[in-house]
Amino acid sequence: MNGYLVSEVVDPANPSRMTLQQGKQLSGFGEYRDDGGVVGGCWVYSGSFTEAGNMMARRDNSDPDGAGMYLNWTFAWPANRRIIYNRASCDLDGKPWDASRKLLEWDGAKWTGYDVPDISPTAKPRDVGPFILNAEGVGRLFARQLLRDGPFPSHYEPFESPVANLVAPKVRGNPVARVFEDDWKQLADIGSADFPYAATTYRLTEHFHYWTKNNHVNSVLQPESFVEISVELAEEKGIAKGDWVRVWSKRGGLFAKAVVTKRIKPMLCDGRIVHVVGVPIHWGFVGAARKGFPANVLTPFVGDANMETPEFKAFMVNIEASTGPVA
Amino acid sequence: MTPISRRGFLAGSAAAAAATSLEAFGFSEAEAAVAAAVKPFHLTNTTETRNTCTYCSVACGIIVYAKGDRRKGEKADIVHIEGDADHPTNRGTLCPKGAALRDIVKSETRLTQPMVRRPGSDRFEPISWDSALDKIARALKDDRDANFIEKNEAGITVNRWLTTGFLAASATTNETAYATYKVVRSTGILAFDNQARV
Ligand code: SF4
Repeated sequence: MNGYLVSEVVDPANPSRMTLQQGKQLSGFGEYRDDGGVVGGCWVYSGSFTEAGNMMARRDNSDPDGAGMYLNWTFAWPANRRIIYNRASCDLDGKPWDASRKLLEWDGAKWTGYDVPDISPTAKPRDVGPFILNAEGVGRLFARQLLRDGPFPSHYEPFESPVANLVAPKVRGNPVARVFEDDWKQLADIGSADFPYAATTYRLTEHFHYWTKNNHVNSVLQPESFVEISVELAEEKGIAKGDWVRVWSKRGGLFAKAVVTKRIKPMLCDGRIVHVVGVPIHWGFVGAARKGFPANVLTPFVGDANMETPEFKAFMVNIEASTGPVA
Repeated sequence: MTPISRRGFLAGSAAAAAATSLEAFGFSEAEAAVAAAVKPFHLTNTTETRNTCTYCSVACGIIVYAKGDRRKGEKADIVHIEGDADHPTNRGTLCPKGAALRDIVKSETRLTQPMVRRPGSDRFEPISWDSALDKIARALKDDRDANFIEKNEAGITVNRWLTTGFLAASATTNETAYATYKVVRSTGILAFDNQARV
């Protein structure tokens, strides 16, 4: 993973001097070459296991001036740098924007400070910008090709929503998000009376995704699937705390116990009260916890326009008091 | 002076303080009674191994305590896991998931051997590693031989295999992830995803 030299490297200025020796571990990715003289798996890990030993095993947690960099604690890729693009912490002339939280500083000849500079150590501040992977060295507002939407984030209602988008009422969801045709058909209409409640999914501190339902302690701490609703919605629907409820979307449904809280509050949307159903995600059919329905039987199959992160945080459901699942 | 870790220092000073105050008060009988009632500290003679919590990207430092010395041919067993007090990220603290890590190691539903669900069956059953790997290799090879695409319509070499997908694990080392990537990509598989997204 670190990379090593299959052939020696001689100093171009003085051919009798060998700068890097054959068979040695690379000390960093700067020693990578494209002439076949280096064997390495992945450049970012270069420097993690050098001739000085296993850099990842280092355990010196000293932190000069409380900068929080811990450069001698294990290894961070690339090049043991703790914050990438850290030149952005300084102004055009290389002065820290905030002297009390200095990472780097241009001392007139080179970059000094607490972190490994993410810029050539002698590159003059006005010559090289912080975002070294962009040719212009600065961040981009207009991203040609790389992002589907932009330049600025704009607000769209979720694909399933109790109200239409006020700014662009005919636009549903983000117009440049990719949605498959059959998944469109599984979305409830905007403001649908069949699915009047906004739902969201979330995690509990005591569980990690669907893993810790296999863990005895975590299953004792949070043993059973539930949905969380407001006092107002519980009253309206005749649901008492601890009752079984059925929650369903246009895609699927689940049974769970109701937790009635003041934490979840009805929202006022476009002059209308919209209730919220909270659905923690952690249950399934195996493990140490009680059996429960996975939350994603409810959620829609759409993602955000750029990264396609699923829209599991905002969708529409209905809810009713129930006697629980048929065993 | 030999360097002493913070944990070693605390353990030593607590024991010393307890002993001196008991003697000062003439509690030698009490001392014996306490010694008889106190359970031996369950982390003595354990091997400490540093690691990182397996769950979220906070990546808290942990110490895994194992009993049993494998160098002496004994079976090693994880008896305790706790936060690493030296670790800059968490300074010894853990959230309820990290604090319960021992029980994910000991989970009754943990897979300890390969399992197979045969065609038409509704349950998983154990299978040996050799048979499992043979079955997988056979299925992969047959499918790849039948469906591998060497060139596209334009005659450009593409070397892709679109009829098989691979789901890798997220809680692995960089080395495992690297080897997995190389193996899967070298076959031409394009549908390659990670369980972190599931
Ligand atoms: S202990 Fe909790 S916060 Fe820390 S890495 Fe593990 S899951 Fe994340």
